[in-house]
Amino acid sequence: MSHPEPPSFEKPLNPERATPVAPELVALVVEVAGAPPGWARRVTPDARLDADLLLDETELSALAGRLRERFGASADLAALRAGLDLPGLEALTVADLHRLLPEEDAR
Amino acid sequence: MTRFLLVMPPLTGHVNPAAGIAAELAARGHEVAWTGTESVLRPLLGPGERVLGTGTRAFRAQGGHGLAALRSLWEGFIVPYARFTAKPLDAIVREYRPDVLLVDQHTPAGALVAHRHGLPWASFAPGAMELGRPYRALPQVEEWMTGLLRGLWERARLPEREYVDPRFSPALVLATSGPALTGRTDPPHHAPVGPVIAARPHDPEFPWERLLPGRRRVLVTMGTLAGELGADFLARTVRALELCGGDVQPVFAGPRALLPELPPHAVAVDRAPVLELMARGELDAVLCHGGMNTVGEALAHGLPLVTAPIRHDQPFVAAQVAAAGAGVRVPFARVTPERLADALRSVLETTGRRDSAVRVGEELLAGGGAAAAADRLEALG
Repeated sequence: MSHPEPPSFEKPLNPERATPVAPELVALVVEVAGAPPGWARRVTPDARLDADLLLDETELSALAGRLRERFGASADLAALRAGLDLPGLEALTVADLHRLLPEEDAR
Repeated sequence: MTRFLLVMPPLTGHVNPAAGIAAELAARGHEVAWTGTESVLRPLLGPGERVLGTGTRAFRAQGGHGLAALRSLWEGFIVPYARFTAKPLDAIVREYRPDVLLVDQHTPAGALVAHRHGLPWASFAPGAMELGRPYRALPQVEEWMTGLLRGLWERARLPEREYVDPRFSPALVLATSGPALTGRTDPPHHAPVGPVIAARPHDPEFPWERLLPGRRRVLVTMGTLAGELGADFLARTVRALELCGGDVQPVFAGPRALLPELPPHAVAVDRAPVLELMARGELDAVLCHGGMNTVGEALAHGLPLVTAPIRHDQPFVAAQVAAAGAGVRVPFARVTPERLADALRSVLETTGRRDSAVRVGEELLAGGGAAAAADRLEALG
């Protein structure tokens, strides 16, 4: 699997394809990323957590904790990642995070 | 007298701490030889060391981020390097006839050849990559690594029932970290000796006269930075240091091509005498990528850190430093100049992190460094 060079952090990813992500989820991702508010526009459904958003293991671990706190035990990113192999982890996107949310929060 | 063979990868951050251990062993009257890529080892070690070359071949540059970097490390370096060096290593061991091998965790071929010849071997962990199993939350990633290592074992035609993880000698694992950072109690055959700091000669090339009296100084050393993101990070760093005010003098160590225009009071050199700067008390804080050597050296000198980890074990080390209270972690790709300036001020202007850095440094140094490593290695001989 090849990976493009990470794009500059100012540029949004595929803005024309961006569809809404639950604002609270975006806020959590921005928070654990320690990112400036403008970076939120990169948190699109097809953004990969690893290669596009450049979240590392410690940040993903923190995100897993915050998701469970906010959305409950079913929003279990740690369990999702524990079940994936390397290509699956590399392919994990914001849309996959979104699918973890309880239905009432996913809107 | 014991005859030691040090099996090291062509990576500066691995060779430098091992050199401190080698010097201690030699000072005790032991015979020490190195094996690996001579074209890399020789400039790092100088003309006096014995280097038994395993040949030279270019391996993929260590770059990228996150999982891509992990994949590149294993599939682009660890495994092909082990395959490339397997035969020469075997010949070197037959000819040199070492009593004990010290094998870096990134050069598993050394462990395989030691096992084949029934020689005692110790593992060397100059980073946090494998210690504490950082990927234990991702069992399939651990299985992938184990699969690659078992593949090397099989390729070496060693009996499957005798398989031992070549990263972890059952006899001794020497690590340059310590419980003050890892927060855990190690099994008896692990020796967390802390930073291995060897005396370095005075560097007359460094522009010592440009270090201004009465300023607080931040060393910026980010290892091998490259590309757009590297230049972008340095540009944000320069701005952040400007925001910290004129009484903070930056010292940049790294390729100047990536640096933007600097303020007149900034110092920039390709290579800085880091330990000499620290030992002379010229620094107040360090901004680095969270590599274990720089972190250990800074803490050993009581210097707080701002870490901006990029890849491999750096996020884990950075998290350990932050948890120990000795530094602040910022996101390399995303931190703004304002946030970075806040982080730098928090280590420069308050005493809490400095106090923690002093305490953690003292605890790490209590691991015994090169002397303790040599004691443990002698016991294997």
